[in-house]
Amino acid sequence: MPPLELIDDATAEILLRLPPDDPASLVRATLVSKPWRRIVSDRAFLRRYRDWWTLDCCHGRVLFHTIDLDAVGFVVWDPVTDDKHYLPEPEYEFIHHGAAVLCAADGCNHLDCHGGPFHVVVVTPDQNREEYATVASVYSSETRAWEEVSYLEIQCQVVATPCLLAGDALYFIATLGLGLFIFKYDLTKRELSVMNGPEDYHYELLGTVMTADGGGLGLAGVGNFKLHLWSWQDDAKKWVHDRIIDLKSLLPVHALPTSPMLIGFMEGSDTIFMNTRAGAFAIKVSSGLVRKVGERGRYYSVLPYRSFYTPDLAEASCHHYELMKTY
Amino acid sequence: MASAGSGDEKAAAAAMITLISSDNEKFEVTEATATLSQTIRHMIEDGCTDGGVPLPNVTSKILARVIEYCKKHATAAAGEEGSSSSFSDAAFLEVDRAFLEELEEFDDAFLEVDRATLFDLILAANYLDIKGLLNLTCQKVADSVKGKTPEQIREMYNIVNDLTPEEEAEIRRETQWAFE
Repeated sequence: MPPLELIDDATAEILLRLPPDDPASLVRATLVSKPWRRIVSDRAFLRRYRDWWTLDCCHGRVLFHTIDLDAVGFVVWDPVTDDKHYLPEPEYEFIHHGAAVLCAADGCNHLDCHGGPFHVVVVTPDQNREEYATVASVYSSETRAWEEVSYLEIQCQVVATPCLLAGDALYFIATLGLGLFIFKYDLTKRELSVMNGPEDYHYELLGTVMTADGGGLGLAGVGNFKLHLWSWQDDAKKWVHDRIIDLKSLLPVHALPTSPMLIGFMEGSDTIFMNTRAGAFAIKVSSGLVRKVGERGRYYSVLPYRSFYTPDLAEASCHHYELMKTY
Repeated sequence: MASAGSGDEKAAAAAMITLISSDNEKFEVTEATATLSQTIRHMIEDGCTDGGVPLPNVTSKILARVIEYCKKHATAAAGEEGSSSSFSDAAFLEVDRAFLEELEEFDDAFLEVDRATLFDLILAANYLDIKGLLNLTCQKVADSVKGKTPEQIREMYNIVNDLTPEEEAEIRRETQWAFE
């Protein structure tokens, strides 16, 4: 049999798929031949290899809202230590709220802050006031108490999808009628503010916030098999419609009898998650890299890594657990 | 929205494209089948498929297999689309699962080829930019490489060792842990 030959591109495609749970496989590949060694030592290849498998990472804390009979309210769960911290009920009802859990240790790199102090930030319309209002409340694990820190005289429905931590602020999506708004909670100033969504945003896109290029605030929406991406330009104080991506060119055809649903994003990266008829997929926007991350199911939202929030549905929680396990 | 989409698909399905292999054999396929290849999709978008699409890097033997793969995966998509028009969740789940299982069986059987054919399929999938086929074939080779020594890999795929003994010794020194 004559030697089988592959061009470097094709060999790279194969080596990219060597699983990282056996790193020796990749190292041994460098000893096969000069071309193989050249490919595996290539920086661009190693970057791709890392990107291809980064979805395996999952650490930090998980924030749940439960409707168990014996524990109504928020629970913060640390999957590593299996610690569960049940939060006391806040003074007022949280409806249509957005929530985030954050490490509260000063100067922490969040690589190993399990068991440390944390804050839970909730943004919700407040029904108890005479005027319409939206409030930001912060729970501290150290004082074990809620504190209302800021409010605005405007009432929207805060959408219960994962919020975004970008720079020193949390961003929550909210709607009023057909309009899209974004609540910004500044973690340093401990102050809530509101901004308009992009003018060319359509309410049917059911968008999510996401990390934009350069680490700032971005917005993604999906409609009619197309992914729309915006980024907020802080200097110019305006939205820019960056890209429209045809999902039919990225996702397998059998996944797309209907337009997929956007179900989350990975903070600090340009990876988003979509639910389709063939399961859940992660898409790295810049490279078009696609990986299946979950079997078919009813995923409403997913947020790996930093925090993790579910709507008030026990069923959804079960599915989220399953999806997490796949990382 | 869904009905408009499937209407477009039907119109597209009627259009035929001719693919021409390196040994000058002609294959007529539907546009829906052909567009699983991003390379061909772009050619269609640029309007340069009249008179056929010459594929000088793909033999008729391999092209026939590639088309077989694309037809199956394009049909699965179309069939699933049909099932969603009379949408009922339970029925849909049933149909969908059957489709996916059938596709998986097809893929498994499709991979039952000798190594030379497998490599030719990888080259064709890479050239034609068919993501599903590239993933399927490359994963098969990656799985077979996992856990093997460099000698076994070379033997399996008939790869010539062109590393000098000095280079080999150097790599082994640097990466001793991987061979224990």
